[in-house]
Amino acid sequence: MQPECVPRLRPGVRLRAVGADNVLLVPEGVVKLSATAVAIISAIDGSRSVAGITALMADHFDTHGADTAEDVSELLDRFSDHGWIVVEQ
Amino acid sequence: MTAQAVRPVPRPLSLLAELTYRCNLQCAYCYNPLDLGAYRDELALDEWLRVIGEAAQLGVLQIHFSGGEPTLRPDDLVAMIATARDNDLYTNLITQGTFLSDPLLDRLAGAGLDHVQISLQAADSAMGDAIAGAVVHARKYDALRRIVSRGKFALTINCVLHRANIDAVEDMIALAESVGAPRLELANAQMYGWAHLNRATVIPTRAQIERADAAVAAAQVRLRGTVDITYVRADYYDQYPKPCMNGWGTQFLTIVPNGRVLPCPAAAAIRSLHFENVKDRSLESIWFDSASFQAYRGTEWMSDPCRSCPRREIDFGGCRCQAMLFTGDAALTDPVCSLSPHRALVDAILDRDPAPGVTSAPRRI
Repeated sequence: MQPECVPRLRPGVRLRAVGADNVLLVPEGVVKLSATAVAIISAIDGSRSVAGITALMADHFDTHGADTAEDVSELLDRFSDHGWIVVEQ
Repeated sequence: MTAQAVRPVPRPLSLLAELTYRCNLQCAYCYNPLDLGAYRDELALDEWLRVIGEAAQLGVLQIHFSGGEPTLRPDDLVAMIATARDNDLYTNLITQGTFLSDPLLDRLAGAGLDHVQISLQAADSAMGDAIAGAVVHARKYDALRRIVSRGKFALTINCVLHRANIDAVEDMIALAESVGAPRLELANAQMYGWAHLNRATVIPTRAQIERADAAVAAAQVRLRGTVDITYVRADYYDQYPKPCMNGWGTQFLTIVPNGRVLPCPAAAAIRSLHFENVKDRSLESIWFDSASFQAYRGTEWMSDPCRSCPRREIDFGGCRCQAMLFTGDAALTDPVCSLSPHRALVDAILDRDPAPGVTSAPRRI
C-alpha cells in the first residue's frame, strides 16, 4: 500500500474491547488482533495516510523507518484483501 | 476410561436468532425443519429483548437475525437490532430481501445494523424464480442494488449451490462483480430439513462439484481485493466430515422461533435430546448446564472409530445431525467419514440421477 493512500474501515467493520483484549468484528467473523494490529487499526481515522500511520507507529513502538513502514503496509494490504478496509487514492 | 484433563467450557461467540420460520419462498434446499407448524408460537418481542441482554452477558459478540424470513416481523426486528447494538453486539441480518423497502432499510440503518446478507437463488431471473417457487428475483435484485448504492451496511450476497444452479456458479460470480458487492458466499446446500427430504434432487453430481470447485478457485484469485468469495464445500464427496459448529456447544447457539435453544440450527432433528426453552431457563444456565448442550461436548461421548482417532480434535466426529439423519443415532461417527461403518449410506445417494418422476417437495409457506 502506497504511503499517500488513506485507508478507512468499511461499514460493518468495528474494533471492540473484550475483557483486556481487542477484537475486530467483521461480517460473520471475529478477528483476534495482536497489539501491533490494534494500534494500526486504531490509527485509521479516514484522514490519516499510510505514511501518517507509519510515523505514529514508529513513535508509539519506538521503532523506525523501513521495517515499520513494511509492517504497516503489509497489514493494511492483508485487511484490504479481506475487504475490511478501503483506500482513497 | 482414560483420565483426561477437564477443560473449562468456553463461552459462545455467536447467536443465531431465528425470529420466525414463516417465509414467502419455497426453496427445496431449505434447512428449516419439516414440522414448521410446531414453531408458530413465536417468542414475543419482550422475551427476545431479555434474551439478547442475556446473550451479551454470556459473552456473545455477534448476533445473526434469520428464520424463515426475519423481515416478516419488521418492527420487532428493528427493536432487536437496536437492543443488540446497545449491548455492543455485532448485528447481521440474513434475509432473502423481498421485503427490503427503502423505509425499512432506513429503519434498519437507524437501529445500527452492521451487516446484511442477502440471498439470491441464481443470477438468471427465470432460474431464480423457479428455485424460489415464486416470482421474486427481480425484487430481490432491486433490493440488492439499493443496498449497494446506500453503502451503509456491510454486504454479502449468499447463494446456496445445488444440482439445479451449481453449473451456473460463474454467472453468480459475474453478478456479484458487476453489482459491486464486496463479498459473495457460495455455500453448497447442507442436507438438513427440507434439503434432506429433497436430497435426490438437491445433491449435485461429483462432476458438477469438481467443476464448481475449479471455477470458484479461479475466481477467488482473479477477484482478490474486489469480491471476497467464501466457498462452503459439500462434504459428501470428501474423505472426512466437516468440523461441525467447531464442536458441539463451543462457539454457537441457535434460538428457534418458539424459544428453544439448540447447539446447531439443525439439531431439532435429534429427537432423543430435550432442548430447553428461554421461557423457562436463563441462556447462561442452558449453555453451561443443560443436558442437550453437554450431550456431545468434548470427546468423552465418542465411540470408535472417533474415540481413538487422531482427528477427533480436528473434526469433532463431524456433524451430529448428519449422523442422526443417516443412521438414526446422533452419537455415531458422521457417516460422511470414510472411517465410518455407515459410509455406504452416504454413497448410496451420490452420483445418481433422481428416479423418474421424483421432484422436489417445495418448502411449505
